[in-house]
Amino acid sequence: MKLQPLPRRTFLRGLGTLLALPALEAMVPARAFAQASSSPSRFVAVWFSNGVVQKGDPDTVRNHWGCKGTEHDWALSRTLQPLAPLKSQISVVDGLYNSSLDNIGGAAHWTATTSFLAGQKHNPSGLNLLKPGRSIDEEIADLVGSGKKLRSLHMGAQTAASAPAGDHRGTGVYLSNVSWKSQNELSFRHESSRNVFTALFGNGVPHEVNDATRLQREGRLSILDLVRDDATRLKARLGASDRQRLDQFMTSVREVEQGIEAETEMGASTCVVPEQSLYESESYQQRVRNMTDLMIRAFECDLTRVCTFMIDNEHNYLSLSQSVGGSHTGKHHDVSHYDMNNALAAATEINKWQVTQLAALLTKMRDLKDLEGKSLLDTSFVLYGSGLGDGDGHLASRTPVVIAGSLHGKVQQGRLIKTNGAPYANLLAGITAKFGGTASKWGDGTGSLTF
Amino acid sequence: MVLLGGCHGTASFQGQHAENEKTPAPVGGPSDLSCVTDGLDYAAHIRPVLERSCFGCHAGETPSGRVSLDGMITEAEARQWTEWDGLLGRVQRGEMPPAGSGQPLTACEQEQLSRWVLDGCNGGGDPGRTALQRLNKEQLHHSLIELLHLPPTATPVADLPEDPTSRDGFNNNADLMVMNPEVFRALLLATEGAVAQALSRSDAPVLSCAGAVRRAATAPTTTWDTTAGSAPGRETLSASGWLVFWVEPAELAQAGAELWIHASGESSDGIAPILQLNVNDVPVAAEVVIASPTTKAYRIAHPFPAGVRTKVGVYFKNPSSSGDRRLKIQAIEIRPAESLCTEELLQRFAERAFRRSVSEAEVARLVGVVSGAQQRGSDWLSAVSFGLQAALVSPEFLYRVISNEGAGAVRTLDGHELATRLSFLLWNSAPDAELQGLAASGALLEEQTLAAQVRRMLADERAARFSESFAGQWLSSRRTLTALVAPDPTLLPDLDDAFRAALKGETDALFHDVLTSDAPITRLLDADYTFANDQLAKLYGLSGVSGAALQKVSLAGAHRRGVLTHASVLMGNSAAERSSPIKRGFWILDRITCTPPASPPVNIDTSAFEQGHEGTVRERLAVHRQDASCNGCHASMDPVGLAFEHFDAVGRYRTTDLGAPVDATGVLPDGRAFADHDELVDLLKVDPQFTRCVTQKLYSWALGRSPDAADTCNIRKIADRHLQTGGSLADLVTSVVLSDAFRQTRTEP
Repeated sequence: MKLQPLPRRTFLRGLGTLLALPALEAMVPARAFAQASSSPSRFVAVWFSNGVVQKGDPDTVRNHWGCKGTEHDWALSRTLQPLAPLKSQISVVDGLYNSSLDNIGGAAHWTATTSFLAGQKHNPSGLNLLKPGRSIDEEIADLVGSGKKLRSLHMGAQTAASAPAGDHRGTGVYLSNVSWKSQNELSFRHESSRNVFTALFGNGVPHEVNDATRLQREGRLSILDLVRDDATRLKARLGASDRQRLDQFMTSVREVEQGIEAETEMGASTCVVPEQSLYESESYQQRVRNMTDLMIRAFECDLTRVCTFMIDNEHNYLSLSQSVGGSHTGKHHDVSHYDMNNALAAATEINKWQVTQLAALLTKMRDLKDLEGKSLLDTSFVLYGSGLGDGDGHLASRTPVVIAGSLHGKVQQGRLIKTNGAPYANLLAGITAKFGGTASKWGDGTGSLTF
Repeated sequence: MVLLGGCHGTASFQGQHAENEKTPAPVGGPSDLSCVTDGLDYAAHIRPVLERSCFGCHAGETPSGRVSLDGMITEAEARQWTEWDGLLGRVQRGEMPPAGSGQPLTACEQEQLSRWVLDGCNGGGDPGRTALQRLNKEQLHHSLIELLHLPPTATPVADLPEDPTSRDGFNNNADLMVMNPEVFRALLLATEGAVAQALSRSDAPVLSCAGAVRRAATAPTTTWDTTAGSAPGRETLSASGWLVFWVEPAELAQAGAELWIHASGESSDGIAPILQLNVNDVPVAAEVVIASPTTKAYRIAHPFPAGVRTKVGVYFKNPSSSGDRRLKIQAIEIRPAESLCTEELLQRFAERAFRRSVSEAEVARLVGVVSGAQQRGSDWLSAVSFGLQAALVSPEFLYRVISNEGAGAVRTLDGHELATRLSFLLWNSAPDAELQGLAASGALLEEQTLAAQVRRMLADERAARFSESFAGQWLSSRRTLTALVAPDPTLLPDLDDAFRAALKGETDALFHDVLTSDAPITRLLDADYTFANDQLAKLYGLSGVSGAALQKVSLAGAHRRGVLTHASVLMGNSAAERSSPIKRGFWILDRITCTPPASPPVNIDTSAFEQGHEGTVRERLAVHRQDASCNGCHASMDPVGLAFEHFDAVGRYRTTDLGAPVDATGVLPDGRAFADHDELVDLLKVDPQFTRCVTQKLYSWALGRSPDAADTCNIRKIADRHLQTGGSLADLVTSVVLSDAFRQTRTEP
């Protein structure tokens, strides 16, 4: 491709908002472009709730998810039909067993989320994982490096407020989070695309440097100085565990401060900022699309390299009319217990709707290129899954998993990968290995799945 | 270690047996001299009995109902478990061990178990410790509005993420209120916006300063001098003419006073009017362009001499001969020198923000933020806004600090700590001036004063926040505002936002009514009145209610009583198109008796359902009760839920379902039968477990933590005393406030 550099001035005039961000392809001088030899690696994890319709053999009356065939000669199941145009770029991982669900009594939905990326059980009396550890997106963020703006991005299209509240099975927070920075610390999750927009394209400080913005920035920094000082003094009056809490506060102050300082140091290169008004108010369906969109924008501009996206919350009680649309009135969780509630067709339909959202994401990733001209899909690894196998029976077996993206040729796609009951968490270790990780196992896993 | 709640979560409907519990089985009991009831030790006296009668099911890797008892070996380990109360209740009611599953306990063994459990609650008790508690979103909202005098419609923290909900169902749990960069960034922006909004008012109360004199343009001491022209109006200057203010010697006690003019300007052509000033008939150099159409404060630099009577004249200067413009003067204000005001207002603000008295050093550091900004070139008002904001993102504001003074010991909270705890309990906000005063003097530490404050605060309109927040979460009324409540539109086509607000409002209003009318807690379950608007009345089949506002109405003849028959509960615990006895039963066991059953296991055998099934919900539920693994929990849940089958998916009363007469009869696991929801309510309201459950919820909310073993004892004490003495919901709230757990804290070693 021959690049024709655009005069920057023309560019500035044509667009409403510009930020100091990485350059667009066309604005990169030829020399710089040649030097940027390799695209970054990217990791995407997409979560969906309440399992799938998967009892009995594939393509029978209660199994609409499982695929029939052999590794290289297989057919997409009826639920996975939306992925047909992408079949050579995805694989279905079949036959995993989610052993984190063993011996947890009735809290299947609560551990579904902690098992997805951390391969672990939840802790009913707190907000932490039961055992030390973290989720693989955190490990992968260490391996692939931070984007220019964020180390990782976490989004959920269904607000936590519309998840069932906490009960004796544990806090409702488990139902709306899949990423843990450490045993005790959740990653922060954005719940509106407006907030994702702010996280990616602005932090409240205007970029134009003038006296007013300089004074505001310096005023903010002086506030943070004082606050840190307050926290240090306060620590002296507290016991050990409260001092740890205050450390959390001080770390947050420091990170915000670094953000404000970095703002002044951003270079002159630019990246197109999407129109913010697109993200102001949105239906659930629109939010799923908008968040998908913003994720792609972030990858295009290399603002982040790791993203987790929960299409919905576990134990999702949203009416199907909000997702699938049409005349459906059943609620997702009720419908997922399709035999108990006579809802087999609707359960398959919601599973298929979810897969359609994945297909939309993958299509965009296939068609869009990053700053180095590589397809986003070819430089990424995408994990799509849910913690439960069959939703009606809360089954721990046959955890539904679709993977996509060749990750710079490291993953051969287009396969039906049969795992014969391997622990689900072994897949997690296997994924980190593709990114260069050395963990021999992850969470409740027993080893690393090679695929 | 056992942590999880049991599957055998049968509600303890023991109404008529309540007396028995206080005077346990006589045969072989205390009168039996061979039965040791003093100095009981877990390892020696309790564990062997459990091993014989319970370990058959409740031990090992996959214990029945997730209740595993064999992990506790020593007395100390056993005392950590929080479920002894529940276990004791089940043994005493004969639910455990189930017939044929384990050898029943002898009367002596039951008595020993009972004594041992209660022994754990003897002595001084442990008030426990609440971790450093961050203000939640609602608390920040109310605090910021009050501190900054924002209008009640302001939404200063709308962009903050929602708070996590604890397993008790509350959003004020200290352990979950974590801080991270995203939350802090949102706080920084939110407080910046809130301060700016506060200071956009020219008479912002946070800026008030002792010694400042404010003179309204309409005050009689202000004169209108028309010697140079005609008078268009008292305070509106649009032609030649001027306002004259006299500043008295006493009002200029100190040199360096400043003049602020509160003014607004309008124009037809965008050219703003100009204000000019004479002091003692001599023009002051600066002219001020009054461009804001809303009233703002304009500061005029002028070195007033101290102690001299001074004449101030305000002139309108027309910058253009065409067009039309008006200059409106609201007031003038003589303020002491900026530096004096800065310190004063920051001290006053910090004391309210930090909910305690502040040291000179603390004020000096806030003043430093202001003077620093001024040195960098900010004007005074912008600089002050940084100072105010610094107090609002300080951990001293964002966290409710209880110091670790007396490390390792139990200590009484100081006045400010107690006032803060109380104020956030009942008002979801910071203490007011009266509470602060009682905190500072120490009077709040006296029991009578504290009890009187509870009464005063409950009578205050801010107590409505308690009802909205506490009942909204405990009784799930907030859920009606979310997508979680989404009935089939054909069942309730007019379910709009206003209707949802009424659904929520009904439950909150009943709670608030019981709270403020000194009614007993049982009124929540058996109130023969409710609060309905036209939409709700139509749903309930009540006549004579019109208008969108909720009003108190009788439920006579409406087949409804109390909160369990509120549409918020019935609709909130239904499937979209049909009632759900499972959800209703679960909710009642979870929220009303605090004996939640476990949720369904992993790897459920669903084959019984695969044949398809038609018929009433009751018939369909019978399918899974044929399965022993389902029946363990559903035997307690289903009858409770089925009692409400007279109400459809949206809570409308019905006598038939799918053409057949509704059957709402049921039998509880202990054998007591009921004909319908009305009779079930009678069983529930005399169940001591209901009182304990309300107490537990109030306690969790008040202390911002999920109860641990020591808390379970504290809760039991408060509840049992309430059961003995009787009293109102307000009395129970007062008892929680007067408890050691509320007034004391255990510090960290």
